[in-house]
Amino acid sequence: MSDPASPSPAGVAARVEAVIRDVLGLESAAVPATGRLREDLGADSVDAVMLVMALEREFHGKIADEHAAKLSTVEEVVDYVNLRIGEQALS
Amino acid sequence: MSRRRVAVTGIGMVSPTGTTAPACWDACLAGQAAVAPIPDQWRRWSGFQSTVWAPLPTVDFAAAGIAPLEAMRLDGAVMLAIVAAREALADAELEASLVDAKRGIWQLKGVDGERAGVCMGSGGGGITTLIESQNSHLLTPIQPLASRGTPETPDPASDALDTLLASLPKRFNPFAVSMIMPNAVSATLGIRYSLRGPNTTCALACAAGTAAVGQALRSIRAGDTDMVLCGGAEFVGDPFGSVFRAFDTAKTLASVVDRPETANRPFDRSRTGFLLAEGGAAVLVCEDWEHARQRGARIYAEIVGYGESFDAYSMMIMEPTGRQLSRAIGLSLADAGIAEGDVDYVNAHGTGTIVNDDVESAVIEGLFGSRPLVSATKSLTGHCMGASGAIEAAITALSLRDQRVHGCVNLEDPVRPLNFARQSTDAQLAWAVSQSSAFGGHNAAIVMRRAGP
Repeated sequence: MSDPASPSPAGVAARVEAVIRDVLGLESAAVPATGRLREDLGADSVDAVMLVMALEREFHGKIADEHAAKLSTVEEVVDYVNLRIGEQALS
Repeated sequence: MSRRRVAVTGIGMVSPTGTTAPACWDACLAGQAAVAPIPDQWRRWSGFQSTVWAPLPTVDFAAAGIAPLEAMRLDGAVMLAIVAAREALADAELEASLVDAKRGIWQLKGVDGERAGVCMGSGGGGITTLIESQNSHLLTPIQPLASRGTPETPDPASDALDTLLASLPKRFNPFAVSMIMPNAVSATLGIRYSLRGPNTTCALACAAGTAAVGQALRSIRAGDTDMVLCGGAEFVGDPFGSVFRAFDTAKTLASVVDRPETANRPFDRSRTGFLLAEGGAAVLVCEDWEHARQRGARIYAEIVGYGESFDAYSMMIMEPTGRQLSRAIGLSLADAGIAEGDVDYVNAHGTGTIVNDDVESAVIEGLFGSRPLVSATKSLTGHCMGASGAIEAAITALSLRDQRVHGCVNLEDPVRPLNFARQSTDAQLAWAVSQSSAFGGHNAAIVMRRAGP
């Protein structure tokens, strides 16, 4: 993924959290880094699909399905996005 | 026991003439017809015979509560229906409160959800999503060509391919199934507003919207529901004009001789076909009369009759005697308990095709003579397909409320000497009929009455 507009890791984390909040309808509730998307934040299978689409939209890239399937916590999503931005690689 | 009565208490509408019901109605009364050239891009794919259509104005979906994320999993017809439904409910002063932010579910104050239904008409379901999904599917193995750069000698084929590849979304839409299915509109509205009564879809092509209003009448009369959100929604603005081509190839569309603004001319002797609309939606809040009265609702009009029939003749051509269309209208009058001579206004199907207008005008003359005012809303909005009957039902209700009918635009040399409204006309209207016919052979007619005690 590449997004020259906001490359800083802290900025990425905030944006990922905002996307998760948006998709899961959490409004201003806390989204802890260790939070598990399904178990703790209540994401169902449709939310998981929506989350991937929302992240792709936010960061202007594509998340491969095999990578998406492994993202189960907020932290993992943030790390994945940071890694992709660091690599400047579109999958 | 007397029959339950049905009131129209809210109207929402999006059409090529406007993005709200008042805007559409005002444009109709002002004779502001929607017509524009088809997008240039489409011409890469076909040399069309018809070159005009009725595009939608820009619709502010975000303002209607559809977030960009949500829009990714909604077909255009569903989005238009949401805009119209939201307006109709607000117009009916039915307050909605959010009960589930994640799923976008609202609850209507003072409405028993299990006594409230949805019945929406559709012509092509999520046909635009289907086309886009097919594009996405077929182009998957061709995607690497997107990075090949501009060929040394550009040609129309590689130009078309580049355009297609550039149009591809990042991924095949995982929500495609729920976007394509024809019941998506009714299901979405049922979920969105917690309406848990009968949730049905009328797939009767261009008669779908009229039939949906008729089914709402029957549902409330039967005591199955106290309220039904009914109407129709359609969106056929696919990026490369495939749907337009299908109608164009079938030689059903208005051709342009010189002035595009006069191409759409229902009931005129020089008509050449209908003007395809990019889409539209109309939603009517229909309520049991007492339910409406008890909560002090404003009533636009009363729905008093419904009739339907089927030609059993041809998929694409109206049966030439019009016997079944006439019978459907007759059944609606009988259902309303009125005679032909009582009808003051006929909101005709009036597509502008050679056969339709010929047959329909003969049917109107045969039933009503030349007394009632007649006008064709499609002369202003273009043909909104599965939404058209609902739009026309809404226009008919507005006509009864305001005691005013809009004109038949571009009508100069009428096919028959009916009492056509050439421009907006004030009139005493007690009873009105709105009928529709459709590919397949479906005929449907509703009767409405001016709101009274």
